[in-house]
Amino acid sequence: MQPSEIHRFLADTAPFCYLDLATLEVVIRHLSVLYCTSEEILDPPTGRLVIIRSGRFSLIDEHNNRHTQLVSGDCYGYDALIKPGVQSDRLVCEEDGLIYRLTAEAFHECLHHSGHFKGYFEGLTRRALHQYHEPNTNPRITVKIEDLISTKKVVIAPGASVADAARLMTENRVSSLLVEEEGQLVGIITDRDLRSRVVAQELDTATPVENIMSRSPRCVEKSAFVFEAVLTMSRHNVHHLPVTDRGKSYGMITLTDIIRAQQKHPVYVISDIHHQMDIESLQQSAAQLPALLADLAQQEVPGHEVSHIITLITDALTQRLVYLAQEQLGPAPCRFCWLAFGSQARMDQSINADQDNALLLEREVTEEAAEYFAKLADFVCSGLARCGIPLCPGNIMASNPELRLSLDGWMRKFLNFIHSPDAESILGSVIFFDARGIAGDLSLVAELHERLQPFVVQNSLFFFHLANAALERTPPLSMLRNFILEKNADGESGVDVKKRGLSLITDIARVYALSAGISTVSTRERLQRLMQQKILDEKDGQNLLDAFEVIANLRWRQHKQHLSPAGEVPPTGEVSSHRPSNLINPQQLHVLQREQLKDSFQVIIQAQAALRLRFCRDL
Amino acid sequence: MAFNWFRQHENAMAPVLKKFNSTPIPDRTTPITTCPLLVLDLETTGLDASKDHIISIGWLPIRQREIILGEANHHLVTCPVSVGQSATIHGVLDSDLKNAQSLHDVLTDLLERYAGYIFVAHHAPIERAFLGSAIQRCFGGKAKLTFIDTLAIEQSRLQRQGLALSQDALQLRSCLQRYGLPESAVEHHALEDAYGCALLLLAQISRSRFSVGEILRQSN
Repeated sequence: MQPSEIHRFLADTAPFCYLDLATLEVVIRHLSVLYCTSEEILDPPTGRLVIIRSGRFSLIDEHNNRHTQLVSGDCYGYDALIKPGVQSDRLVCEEDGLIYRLTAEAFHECLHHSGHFKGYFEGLTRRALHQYHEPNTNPRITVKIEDLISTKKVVIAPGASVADAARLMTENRVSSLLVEEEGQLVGIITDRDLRSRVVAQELDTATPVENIMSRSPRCVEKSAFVFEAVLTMSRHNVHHLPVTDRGKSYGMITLTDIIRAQQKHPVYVISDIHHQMDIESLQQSAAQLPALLADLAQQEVPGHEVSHIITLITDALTQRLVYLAQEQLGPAPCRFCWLAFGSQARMDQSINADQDNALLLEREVTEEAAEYFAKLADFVCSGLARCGIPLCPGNIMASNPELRLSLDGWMRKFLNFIHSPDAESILGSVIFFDARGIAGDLSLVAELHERLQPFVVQNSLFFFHLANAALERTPPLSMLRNFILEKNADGESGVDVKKRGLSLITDIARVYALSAGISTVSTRERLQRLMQQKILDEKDGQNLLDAFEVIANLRWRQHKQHLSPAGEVPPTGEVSSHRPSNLINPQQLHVLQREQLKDSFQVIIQAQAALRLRFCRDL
Repeated sequence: MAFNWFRQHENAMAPVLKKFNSTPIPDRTTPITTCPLLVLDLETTGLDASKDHIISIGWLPIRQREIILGEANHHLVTCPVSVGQSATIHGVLDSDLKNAQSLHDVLTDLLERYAGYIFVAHHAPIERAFLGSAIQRCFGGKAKLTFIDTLAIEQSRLQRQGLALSQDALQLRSCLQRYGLPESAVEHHALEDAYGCALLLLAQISRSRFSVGEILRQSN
């Protein structure tokens, strides 16, 4: 028997939470507990792992500098245990506290027993963002039939002709129909029945459905598990099962529904989007996004790839909406291109991004044509909002008439920014310099860029202001390398990793890229191109890329917590009032993540200094 | 049988107690941090050592300022009477004691392993009285027990600071809170309380370089 308090603490603390009960008991039997007073220095432990239970500690390097802070739950001394001979920093107590010390034998026993435990420390010694996760339990086993099928029930009467049945199937793009008489399910008919019992038998297409339908088919209750449906299907060799709701006919589940449910993959979501014929169905497709993200989160897909996927889905929704708008309004009166700005343009959209878009028209248009594009813009913007991408509070949207301009109109707008720049107009206009064509005639964007290019490069006053705008905000790091916390409206404090992290890197990359005439808008690509062209040196560029990735990953890690497990996600159609925030509380980060975040902020501070030197003098 | 019993009684002390009593504890000038300590806590059927019985014992040793969890021990002890109303305090029921060990075995283990240790308890007079009379009954002699009392240390510390003490200021839980030490969710469990007492002692002796003598003086 052991003190329950120690047990409870370790069971809640990574990586000990990954151990099974028996191993945890062994760990506790090999622990000792020590009380440390402030300013007490602990020499590098020989052959023991230190676990901070309470108080505050710092590491001291060989020059007696105090760096990394350790708090409750942090470990120390693992490097020497994993790689004998490694010199550890000394530990100094800053504020009275308790530490646990674990024997080397028990530590190695844990490494041996648990892959997660081992992975955790390997991650720490690599000083990489360690990504540990719970063992993946398969949620699919618990998925119920009602989670899978659409509520749309397609029904035909037994007296209808097989020709009617075929038409009904085609219209509804389904492969089977429920046959109901006075609300009672009497049979089902599938496209295979039409093939083998009608066409192959050369029956008349006026034959009533009841002659060829399968009578009293096996049914499954909508509250049953999906695997039950699979069992029934394979036992009776059928691909379609009517679904009942407490005995009453409810809908149909097909083998395809089940297979599709197992392929929650961006490709399927995107192809699904491109098949939808109305806003409601599009909304349903978009509602898959949270489940998809939860899946990506579970598979530990890194932050920047997730952003890329979110962008692809927003692109697909936009493209489909532009298509559906034209279906409704008729063909456009002239060539046009739907533009995305900001994070969608840069392909690093996060789950909480709102819309930033506009229309670029081939030429100045008549009032009638202007009316057409106003309707198209409204259709697409409100459609995107219904699919879960909120309207832009700053009204940077195609539905704003000032952002539906001809090529010449956009040229004037940009030249205005470029030629008479002042700090304020620049701040408001930077967003337009990250633009990407999404739908319509993409060659219009290329044309705009080409015409604009000569006016942009070599305009040092413009870059002076642009660079100043990029230097307006700084990373939230004090001179002493402490985090500067801010509070949001909900009273939570932390550091805003978007405004004072990711955006700063984006701004820096934009200034350099525009000055070098680089047309790509993705921040990562911009930095890579800048390195290739030797405008940024290899080391600085790589540091910025790393910082960008570290911060994006931390933000994604934060946003992940807002995703409920796959299968129980609210539809994105309803914009939740509590959107994932960009505010990260450093105290909730692991000690190494905190240090990496500080390192990343430091990189930005240096890059900002370099930017100032390059663009903000001699004026 | 009767003869044997008579002889044991006549011969007074059992060898295990003799050995315990003949092992010296560290000199009074020894720093407390280097002195081997055994923190222990008893749960009993009442407060009178002459009538009431021990029902459980928890202990953990401290060596070189470290609580050694590998030697943490908790024993339920067979009790000749019903735990009665005391069950409401310590939560040990008569039925739990079915598989309990005999007091004789538990104390033999304690005396064999921890000869030369100074004992530590929170409100030590209780532990001293119960342990003393139990050892007397089992081994036919008086044990030389030296106790540090964390409650008395805390009391004199607070009084030195001139603080008015509230009724429960000296309870183990209040003391742990004062030092910002983790508290157990379970109270009146011999091992849980012994662990709390051990943490308290480590905190109490952390600030100054106390000798064994000074600590013992504060304990009485």
